[in-house]
Amino acid sequence: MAPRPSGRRCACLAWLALVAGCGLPASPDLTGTLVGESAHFRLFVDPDFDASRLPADLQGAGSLDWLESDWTDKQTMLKMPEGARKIDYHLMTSAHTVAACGGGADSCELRATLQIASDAPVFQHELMHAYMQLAAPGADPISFITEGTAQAIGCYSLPWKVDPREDASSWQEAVTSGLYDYGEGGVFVRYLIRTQGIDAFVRYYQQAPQRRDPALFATNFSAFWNMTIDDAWAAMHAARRATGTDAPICPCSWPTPPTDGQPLDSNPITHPYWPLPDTGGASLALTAPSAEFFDFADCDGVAPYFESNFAELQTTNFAPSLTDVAVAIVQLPSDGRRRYTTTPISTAALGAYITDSCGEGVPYPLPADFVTGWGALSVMVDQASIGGVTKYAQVQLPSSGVVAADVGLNTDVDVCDSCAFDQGSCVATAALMDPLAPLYTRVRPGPVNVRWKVPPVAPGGAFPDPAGAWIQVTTILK
Amino acid sequence: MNRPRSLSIPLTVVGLVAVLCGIARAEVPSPDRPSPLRLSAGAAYLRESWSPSGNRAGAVFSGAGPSLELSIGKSVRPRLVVGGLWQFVGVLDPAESYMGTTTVVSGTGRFLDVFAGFADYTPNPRRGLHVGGSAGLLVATTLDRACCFTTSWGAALSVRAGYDLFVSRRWSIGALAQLEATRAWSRESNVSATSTGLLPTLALSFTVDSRKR
Repeated sequence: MAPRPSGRRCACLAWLALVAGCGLPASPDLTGTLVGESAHFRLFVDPDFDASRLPADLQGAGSLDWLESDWTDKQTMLKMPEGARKIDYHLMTSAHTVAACGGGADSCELRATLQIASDAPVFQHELMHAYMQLAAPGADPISFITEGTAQAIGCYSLPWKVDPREDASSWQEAVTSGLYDYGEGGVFVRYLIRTQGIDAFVRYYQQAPQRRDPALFATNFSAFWNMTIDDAWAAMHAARRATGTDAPICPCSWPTPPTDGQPLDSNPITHPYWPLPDTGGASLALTAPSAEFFDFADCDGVAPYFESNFAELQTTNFAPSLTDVAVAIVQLPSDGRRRYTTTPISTAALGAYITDSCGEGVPYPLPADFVTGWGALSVMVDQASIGGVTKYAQVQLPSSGVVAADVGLNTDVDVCDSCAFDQGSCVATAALMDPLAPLYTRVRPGPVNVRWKVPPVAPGGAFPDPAGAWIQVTTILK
Repeated sequence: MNRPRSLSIPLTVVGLVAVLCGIARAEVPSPDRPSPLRLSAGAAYLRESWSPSGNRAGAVFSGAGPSLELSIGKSVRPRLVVGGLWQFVGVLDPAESYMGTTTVVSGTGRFLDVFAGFADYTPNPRRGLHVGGSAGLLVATTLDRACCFTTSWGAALSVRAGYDLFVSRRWSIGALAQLEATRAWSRESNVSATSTGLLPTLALSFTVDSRKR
């Protein structure tokens, strides 16, 4: 949030003043020790801040790299000028942050001072406030627009489902009450960016009204955009209802990962997310460190978000922590939309790994330590539009293990070392779930076929959470 | 958002009537005062039309609030006083009607400062009735406690009538009713607009001859 100075002093003066001339109170200077400086940031750390809870590479001045990554990404949209004032980022304890921000806020950007107070090393929302001050210097629109803008752009691993019950009764209420600044404010700003472009929106932000006055807001809006606020408000909600999703817009400016299966720089500091390549209808096989799940979000924020299951077993001491034992084979929706993942992927490979018939696809070689790391495999398709069909994937298992029914194998998924599902040793999982049947499927090195009976599409085309089929491999032999 | 009907005006009227009825028993003759200083406090109701340029839809702001006026005059002829006045009216959280929707934005206010010249005529010196008018400069301030305030300039014109009851040769207490028309011009966020207001005021006035005789 961006705290605004109290109007109390101005109110008193206005009662007494004959003419205007009241200055706004200055924001307080935040405390902290300067620990480092980069091209666009100065990093201050509160002496009471417990940096030991941060990963090693984020301690000291380490988070400056992450901040610079965020700047580089967002600058592709907002075009903040180089050589302007640096942003002071204050890493503070929660208590000190709340005290500095006021109003119970757990982070804030002190407007016009380019100071951010937060207990998180990178807080995209507050950074957006600072970026907008640089992109539109001197602008200070109503909080519906400022907070909406801070909510409008960002790369998050969150579903952001639309809930019309949270909507304001009218745009007048939304822009004046302060209750809808983050929710519908974000929706409104995203609608403008998507339909009018980011450059036009920044120009609008530069001159938008400061005061909460519906008539002034509407008149300024229609003069700038040449459309009425009523029309825009109606179109915004119609677009939102049509998609059912309205997530922040991610610049997706980072390069897509090479899909040759070679190790990637999965450091989230330098790659906070990965835009995904155009797969041309093929499937994408991704690996990630232990206990990671895979999320898939639309860069424009209008297509549904979906994410895989994660291997809780990989968080235990039983399984060694490895860099590539979470695996997802995903057939991305063929809607032409650019997507990204915030999962710290370690490899990416492209191929026809998911097919409609067994044995027709390209086998995906699982990582060498997949079984010893208690690997987990997710198979994912566009469950918003594909359902009631059977999909197959073939993987090459590097060593022996078991796929255990009691640790997550669901009844929609079967594994078999051949395509002879339901025959011989390849007993369907539904039978395995029988109390009298063995509780695991033994798997050996070599090809393993996965059969997934994709459930019917849910009403409204919603992705299940988690999405996809999922199998867990362990080294335990019962 | 619906605004509860303000009780300030009816209460003020009742108060004024009660006070005047009590003082009327004093029956002090009305002297001609060479330099009256008058303080009036009461209530005003503002109804202001906001009209942006370019044939765009306008809005109407309305609401009641306190009024305070200070005037000082000089008797230039028998029964005629001219002088200057400052009037302040503040309307907190005015209702704004725009395109069929009425909104009350909490934490906002409309404040009017009028600096005017006035003329006040007492038709019959044996009675306390006086009538007059004023014309002057308007400074209109719109405050939003969430951020800021803006100021616009304009003009104000009023007609007024009052009735004074003398409690001594120098002091009187009375009622003052005024109907004021205002017009202000503003430019904010690239929107040029004209605000035209009507401001009835009812006040209790205290007058003293500021020059000792």
